[in-house]
Amino acid sequence: MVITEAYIRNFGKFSEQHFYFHDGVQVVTGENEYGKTTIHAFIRAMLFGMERGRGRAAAKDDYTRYEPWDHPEYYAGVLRFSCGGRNFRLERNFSRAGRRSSLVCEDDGEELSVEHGDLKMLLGGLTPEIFDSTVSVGQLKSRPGEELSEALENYAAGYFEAGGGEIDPGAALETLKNRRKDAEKALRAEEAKREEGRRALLQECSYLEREMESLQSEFEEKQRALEMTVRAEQEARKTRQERQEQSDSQQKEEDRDSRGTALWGAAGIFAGVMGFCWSQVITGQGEMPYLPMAVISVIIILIGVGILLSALAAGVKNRGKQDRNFSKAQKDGEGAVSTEARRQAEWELKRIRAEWKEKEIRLQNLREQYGEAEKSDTQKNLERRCRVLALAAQELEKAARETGSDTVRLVGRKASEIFAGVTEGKYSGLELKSAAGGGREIAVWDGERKIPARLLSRGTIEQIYFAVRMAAADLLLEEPMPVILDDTFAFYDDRRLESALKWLSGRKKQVIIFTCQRREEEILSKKEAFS
Amino acid sequence: MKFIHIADVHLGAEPEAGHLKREDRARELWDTFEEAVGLCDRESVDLLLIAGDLFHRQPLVRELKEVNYLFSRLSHTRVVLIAGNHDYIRMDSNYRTFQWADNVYPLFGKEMEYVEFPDIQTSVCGLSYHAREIRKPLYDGVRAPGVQPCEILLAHGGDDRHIPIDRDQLAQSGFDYIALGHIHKPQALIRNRAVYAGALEPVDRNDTGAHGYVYGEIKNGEAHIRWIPFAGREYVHLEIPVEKTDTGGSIGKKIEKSINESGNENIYKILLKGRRDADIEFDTGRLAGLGNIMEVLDETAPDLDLERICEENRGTLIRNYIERFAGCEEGSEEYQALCEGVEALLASRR
Repeated sequence: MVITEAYIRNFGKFSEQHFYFHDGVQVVTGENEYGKTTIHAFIRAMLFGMERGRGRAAAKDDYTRYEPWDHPEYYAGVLRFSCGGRNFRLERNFSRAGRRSSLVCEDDGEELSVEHGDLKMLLGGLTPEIFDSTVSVGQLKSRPGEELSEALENYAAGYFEAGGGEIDPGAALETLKNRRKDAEKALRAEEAKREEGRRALLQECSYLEREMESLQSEFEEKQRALEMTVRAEQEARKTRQERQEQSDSQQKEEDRDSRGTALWGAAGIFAGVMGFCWSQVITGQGEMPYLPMAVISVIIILIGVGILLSALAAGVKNRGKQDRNFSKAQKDGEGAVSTEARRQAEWELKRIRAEWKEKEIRLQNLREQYGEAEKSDTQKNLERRCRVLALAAQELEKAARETGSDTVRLVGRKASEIFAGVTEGKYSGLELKSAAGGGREIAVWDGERKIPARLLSRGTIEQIYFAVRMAAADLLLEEPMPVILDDTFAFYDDRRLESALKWLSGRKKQVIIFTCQRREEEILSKKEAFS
Repeated sequence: MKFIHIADVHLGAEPEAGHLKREDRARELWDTFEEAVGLCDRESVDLLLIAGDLFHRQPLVRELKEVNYLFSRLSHTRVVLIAGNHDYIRMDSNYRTFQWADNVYPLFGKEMEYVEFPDIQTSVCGLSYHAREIRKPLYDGVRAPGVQPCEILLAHGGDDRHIPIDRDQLAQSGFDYIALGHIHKPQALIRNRAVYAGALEPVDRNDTGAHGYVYGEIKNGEAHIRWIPFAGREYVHLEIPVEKTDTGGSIGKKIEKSINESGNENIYKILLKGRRDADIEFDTGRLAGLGNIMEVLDETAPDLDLERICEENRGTLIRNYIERFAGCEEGSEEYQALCEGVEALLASRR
């Protein structure tokens, strides 16, 4: 593309002014405040359009800066250029009310449409971003507090990793990492929320386990008790049997005793009776009964009766004792009352077992439920988002490395060439490499030593900047675009300026140089005389 | 002969229910079941057929007692049930020992068995699960016993791990009606003859659509059935289309409107789909508060004109980045990563 005419109807300080350009290198010289930068901005606005910014940014943007004071409704211009062998006339009106644009091919009068991308086609991929970072070259500006070499390195870092377009891959990566952190945090919160619900399950499980344990021990205790009574009973029965046997023999003895006593009694009575009879016989023989004899006999009878009675009583008592023993044995052993108690104990055990089983099944059900608790969709989505952001970061790093190494390789080689040309071979190459703390370091090679950029003069740094931009423009643009140099050479010494201009004219492309000095013009006319 | 066929009641399940407590939703399953049993009495149907998974897990004795009480109050209806894969008859299952009311006929055998009701000239065949999974196609080759004019099969399963069912085999089995359970979505395998009643109430967040039971009548050897919606709530997956012009507020309005249209009693999962303005992010947590919503999933992609971005950034990192994802499908994880990265890169412009 070659710009042939910029006709400024009303833009900034200019109105109804024509500026003509031609192919090759040309210089627009003007003093400070002449409006060189305005022409530069006009060309940019014509190529890419210009819209009014929104909000506070509007106060400082190009639209406001160049909006004419006198006739703001008449904010327009025409740019004529040739491209691919055809001539075009691009007309734009920037005013708020009457914004419009038209593109006409002057050779055949064909009307093209800016809205439908015809201009974009002609620009061959040149975007405002690429325009700003390549063919439109001003002076390297450093931010307050930034060394110029740092500004250069930052430019190069952004440039090489992002391939231009004013993108900051580091910041983009940081954004992705922060988003991932947020997603992970949200995921943890969601998991905690779900875990809360699951914890209730676990809690119920442990309650159940505890209850089952106490049921178990209750069961064991009751069972032991039951066993003990049963055993005790058996033992009791055994001892009772033994005792029974014992008492049976004792009984016999006792019976024998009482029988003996009774015998003694009976014998006594018999003896008494016999004595009494004998006393009667004796008394019958005399007139007077023998009283003492009778009395003695009666006493003997009474004693005999007493002994007999006591013997009988003993017999009766022994039998009663035996009866009582029997009923007691019945009560403790297979007696009705004892069976009932045992049945109750057994029923109790059964109840505990059933209760335990119910809890056991409930516990198993709960454990099953706990095991099943699946992830919520929110959880799955957040997990997905984490994966997505990790993938994005990973690919971005790869792309940056690739873009970086690609551009570094290509631009680096080209920039070295240009830089060597501009410095007339004083420096044979440029080196760009990753710095330890991120970013890139730039160094130049003078054939013997590698000199880091921060040790170079402002002029040399500007030359590196120029070389890198020109290299990038060559590599990025399909269609050769006019290079616009806006006070770029202010810090160049005459020799380097001459070399730079020589390199530019050697390119055989349109170069528009805006300057406030006469040097460029002088060198060029001298050079033209040379060539 | 009139019958009601229910299946997959899943008593004891505690399904997710949005803002509703899980316990309350569990109670609702019982309530609906109770109503269904009550309905049998009101309609004086002859048989209540329960095609498995009456319980969600192993039934507790107290649960069996509750169920049995409901059955025992039926004045006319007899109940036939089988155990499914969820309430399968484990070694220690309470099903093995429970004493049912006189009008309840469990078919709890591992092998096919049947029960006859001569007064209504009907027999019901069936078997129960004794394991969580049965991969054998036990219903293939089963034939109606031919003991009564009217013969019914109670069957549970129909996927690979739960007695695979072959439709043609069932068609040849000779049963007048096959009451199927296991698949929660109501559907007919053979029209009017082999039917999944579906879950009585939806028991899982993915049991979308209406749920209910089958009301049927067998006359002259032909079944006439009707599927009747009965569940108190539905799970609804609501897709909300998102456009470039939408904001959080407008999406909220759309959600509220859709919920009002589809019923406030239902339980919702909201899916946001489409292209959103790249600057807008939806607060899904806040949107979930707009109704009985389990969750709101944002599956929108930012509205980025990738082609244009590519065109404008020739040879740059953005373009290289976009090209790394060439050929990925819209909506895939790769596509999402692409959008995230491009957004981050565009935002980093100085």
